[in-house]
Amino acid sequence: MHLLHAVLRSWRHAPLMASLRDGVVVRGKDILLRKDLATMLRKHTLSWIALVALFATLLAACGGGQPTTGGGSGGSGSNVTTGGQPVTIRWRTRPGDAAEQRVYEELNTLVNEKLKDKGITAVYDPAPNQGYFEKLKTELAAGNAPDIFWIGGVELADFVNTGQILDLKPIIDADSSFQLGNFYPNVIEQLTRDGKIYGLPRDISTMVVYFNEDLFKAAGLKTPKELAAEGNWNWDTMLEAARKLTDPANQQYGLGFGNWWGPGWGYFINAAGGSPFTPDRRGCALNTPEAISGATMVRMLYDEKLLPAGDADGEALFNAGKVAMYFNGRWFTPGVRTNATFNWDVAVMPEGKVKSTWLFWGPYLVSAKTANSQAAWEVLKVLTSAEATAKVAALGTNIPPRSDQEAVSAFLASTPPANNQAFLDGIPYAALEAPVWDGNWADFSGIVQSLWDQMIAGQITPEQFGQRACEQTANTFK
Amino acid sequence: MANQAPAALPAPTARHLSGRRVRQWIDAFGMLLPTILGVLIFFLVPLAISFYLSFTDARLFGDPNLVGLSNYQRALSDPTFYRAMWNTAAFSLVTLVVSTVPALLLAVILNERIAGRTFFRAVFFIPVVASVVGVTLLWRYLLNVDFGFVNYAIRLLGFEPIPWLTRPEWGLASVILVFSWKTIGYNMVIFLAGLQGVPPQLYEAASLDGASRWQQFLYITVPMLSPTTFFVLVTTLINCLQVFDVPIALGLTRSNTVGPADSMLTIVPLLWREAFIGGRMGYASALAWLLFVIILLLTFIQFRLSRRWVHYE
Repeated sequence: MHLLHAVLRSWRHAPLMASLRDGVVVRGKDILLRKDLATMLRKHTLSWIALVALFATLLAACGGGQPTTGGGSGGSGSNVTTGGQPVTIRWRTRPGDAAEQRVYEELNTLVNEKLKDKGITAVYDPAPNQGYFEKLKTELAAGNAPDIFWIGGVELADFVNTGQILDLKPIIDADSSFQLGNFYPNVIEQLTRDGKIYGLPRDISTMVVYFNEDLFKAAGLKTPKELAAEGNWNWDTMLEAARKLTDPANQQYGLGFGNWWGPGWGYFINAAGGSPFTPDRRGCALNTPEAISGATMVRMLYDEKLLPAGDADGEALFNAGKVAMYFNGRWFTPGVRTNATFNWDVAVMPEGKVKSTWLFWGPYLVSAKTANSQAAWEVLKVLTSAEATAKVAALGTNIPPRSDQEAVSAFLASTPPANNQAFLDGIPYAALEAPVWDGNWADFSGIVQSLWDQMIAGQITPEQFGQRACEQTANTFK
Repeated sequence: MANQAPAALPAPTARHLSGRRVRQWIDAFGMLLPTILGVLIFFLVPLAISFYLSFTDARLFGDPNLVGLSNYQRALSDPTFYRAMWNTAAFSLVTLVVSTVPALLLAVILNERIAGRTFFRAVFFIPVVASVVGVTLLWRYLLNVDFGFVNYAIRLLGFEPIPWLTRPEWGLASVILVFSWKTIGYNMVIFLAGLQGVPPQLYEAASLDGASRWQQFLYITVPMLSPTTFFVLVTTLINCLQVFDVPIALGLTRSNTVGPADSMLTIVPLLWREAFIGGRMGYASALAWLLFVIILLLTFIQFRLSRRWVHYE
């Protein structure tokens, strides 16, 4: 009360408040209403209309969010709809840029052509990179998540452990037209837990080096592709090229990669012979000598300013011709095709102490709360079919999750880059992106990234990074 | 018209009067109901629920169990909480100065009869009405170390570019810059309103007595403006302690850190991250109530201190 009084006192001198006070509401100690307001108040009808309108709005707001649900989850045979009502299935991915989003919009058109006869309409509902998982989890908790959604493979445990994902095993077993064996088996293994199958892979991608051929030619250097063909593509030759192609006066960098676990602490620590996790994935291994030597290598790259700082800035700089080599997955290809005005190609990742790259992959999952699991399955089947994945691969955005010849050929034929084979060459020795079943990946990666940022900024040493990372992440494991 | 209506009616009996009263009451209540319902549904009920949740282990999915004070204990032993508190304190302290002193100066200048006064008032107010997320994303480009315009200008002046958004030591400075840029215009308008309430005869009398412009500012404007200044300080501090949109739009990464090495992490972004990324609703609610207590305490202290320097005529 005291506070309120003081606030009112402090307002008394503001003319804005004064006009409000004198003109409308308060006069002396009595509360008077202006003439016209009093007239309005007498007309009962008006307030009733306001009340009814309010309730109508509230009811509409509470009941919203589920514009089209097709009814029961049953339905067998070709027509999965109930009572002839069309079913809408909403699905989501996280396109990295406008070019990638267009690819998925085209895929949505294909799905709708395929399922027109079954009365199923697919609606593509993309969500941006920033805040993707918060949005998804909030929608899941509220019960209005998309029927089908993409996540990164490493995020899987969090969704499955909280019971949000539909087990597809019974549906797969009942569907004789579907062949699970066409997908890469190591990825399917990651999606299988306790005899249940959670989702189907959307795509796979190894990490490669995108390089600006013109910059290499102008400097008279051998390209990563040529060096790899000679068997001489490693951290030494990479450093040599990066130093020669870095030109601060021209704001040109020899190297570039996003500041996140994939190309950052993931690749460099793996290639130095270490790993972020202990072999059973129940603990942190960032404090091993191998991991620390990987971190030391990256610290040197930042200290020598061979790459742009920041996360996504390097992508724009590569596309502008200001970065000679950039580490990224296949998802970067459509953006480079659209923006680059120079000759470019890809090569396998340079060899560190050991050969290493990532095998990134991400599944489409079906929400446990989908109103029509059979219709969702029909959409999922088309999304992951050889034809659809070949089509997406032809548009350049990813590598099919299946080894059918149709899909693989479509991928290899989708150029530039000319050297698509580099994406496949890394598969045998790649580290497979995998869920952390006995830990909390979001907490682990957040803590490690924060310490990594301090390390590359020179605030802590690589040794301190490894030590603190394992101390501070200890209770993110079960 | 309406006021005269009762006089035209026959003398009201007690029963008639009470019927009228009931109708009036219904009318008034009906008019108030939208606001009452709004406050109940969207404010008081969530408030009560969050208070309850702060004593539970509630997660995004599943049912909560009571855990007593352990969420509060956890916060007080969590280094990330202290880091966010420190960031919030440093941010608030600097912003309190950076977003009020220039606002006062601008208000004094734009209270004079200078050419283009209305134009400049509008210009300085534009950031206030612009969408926070939109303009913050623009600032991300402006502050970019490699191709941002700010660093382009700094380079032209012959200095090294400033890594605003890519080095931990500059993270908080960037948030202060963008937040103050957005807040100055609002504070300026409040100061302008206060200035216009200062009676001009005080200045006339002072100038007749030979007071300089500076003396007039110091001995008339500042004391006469003290209630306005107090209002600006209280609201700016509360807005600072609750800052969320600027650090998130400026610094959120795909690892869910806020700025390099969490350098832009203040209390509300931490609360949000715990709730929606960690899924720890109970802990996040406890953080919210801790923040409430801190704001209440600081505001109380401000009010006590204000007795010494705020003059109400």
